[in-house]
Amino acid sequence: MIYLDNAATTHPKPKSVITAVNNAMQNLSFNPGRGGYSAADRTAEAVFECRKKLGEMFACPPDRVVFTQNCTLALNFCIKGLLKKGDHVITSSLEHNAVMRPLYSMRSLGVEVDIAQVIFGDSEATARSFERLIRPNTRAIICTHASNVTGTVLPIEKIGRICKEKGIIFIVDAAQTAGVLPINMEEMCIDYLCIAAHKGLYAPTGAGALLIRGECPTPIIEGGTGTSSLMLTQPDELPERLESGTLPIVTIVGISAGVDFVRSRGIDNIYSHEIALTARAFKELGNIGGIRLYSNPPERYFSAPVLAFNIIGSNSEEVGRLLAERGIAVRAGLHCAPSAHKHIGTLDTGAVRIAPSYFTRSEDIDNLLRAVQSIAQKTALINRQKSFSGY
Amino acid sequence: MEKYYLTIGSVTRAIMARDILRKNGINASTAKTPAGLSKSGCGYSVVVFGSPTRSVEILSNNNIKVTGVFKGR
Repeated sequence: MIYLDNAATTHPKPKSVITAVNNAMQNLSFNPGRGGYSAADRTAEAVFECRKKLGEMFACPPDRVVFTQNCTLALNFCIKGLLKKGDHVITSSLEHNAVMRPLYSMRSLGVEVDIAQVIFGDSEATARSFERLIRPNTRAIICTHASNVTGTVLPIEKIGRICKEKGIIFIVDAAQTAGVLPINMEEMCIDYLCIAAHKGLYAPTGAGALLIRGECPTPIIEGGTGTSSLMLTQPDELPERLESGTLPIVTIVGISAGVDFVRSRGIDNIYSHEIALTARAFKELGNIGGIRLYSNPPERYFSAPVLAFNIIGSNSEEVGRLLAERGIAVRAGLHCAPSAHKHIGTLDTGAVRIAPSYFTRSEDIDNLLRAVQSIAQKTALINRQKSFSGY
Repeated sequence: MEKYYLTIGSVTRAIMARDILRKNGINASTAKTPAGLSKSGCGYSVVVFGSPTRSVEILSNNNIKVTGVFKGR
């Protein structure tokens, strides 16, 4: 299989991650922060090690690294744990439903939401789109770092500075960028960073995290934390305040190994490889007749390694199916991001998305291009025949 | 030297506390807080030997709250 669905989750995972996960299954399947025996202590050390690594990577103290099941849960913790009736929130026009659905749900509780338009190729104008919508009751800006449909990178640093100046909370959905692009929460003025470690950090699925530099959100999930058990309220201390129940130790060890993998290869090297493949795919898809592309040409640091296209006259899901028949795994449809599709005008058709990873080879893109060309030619032929026979 | 439990709370902060003390040249380890020492129930402590005063001060300077100091057996 040629796997180009890395924006959903990366595959394959590095051997070092698989080895670490296997090792954890055998030697670290204990409950940290509860038992007083050495195996539980070893497990707790492994969990803390992972917090430290994530904290170092994103400039956040280790005790403010909260493990979550995925990026979606991290976003829900922020949106539902920080916003209240009367608050105003600004988000972007390229958001995933992980942001849009919780925000929509908060609207029914009296939270007001405005959408800032992202201007492709103009980060200053995009930042101004956000700034213009700020009101006295604006409590937060929540936006994606990069679109999971077009790969467009938002000007996070500029938006972060605006938030800092105006005293607004800044929440970033880094599902597509953690481990792919450099992120420094302090320098970018990010208060809450939501990550999907199973994507750019090559961890197993079920691996997300919320990194917090602001106040702790009110917990939306409560339960056992291994601390202050006599109290019927959640403990105040992070990360346990937001980590009720047993942690996914094996997954966390996988995150640790994933961070090591990315560091050892170098974020910049991985990104250079991925963006070069994306840029090549963009250019050569554009040379095939009957293809529509939906973003600016991928450009270093302005694009994540994700791009969307359609074969004109074809249904995106059908193209996805035809590529799957040829052994090429892509993601077609709306990518859980109808807002982004509305923005690029593909709400009715969806689009075909490709996203390479560190493990994608140039030959994989060659094969994709050949397959798309073949499908596009057949589509054009069928459409001509339909047109000729009066359909 | 006498052994002291500095009750901290979570295992995360106990590990952080231990690392900070070790960086400051203090021999410290983590341990589950013995039953009865913590008023709020389960939790973790750092264990130090000798006078705990400097350890408490170092932790306080590093924003780690010590909720209690108990002489161990």
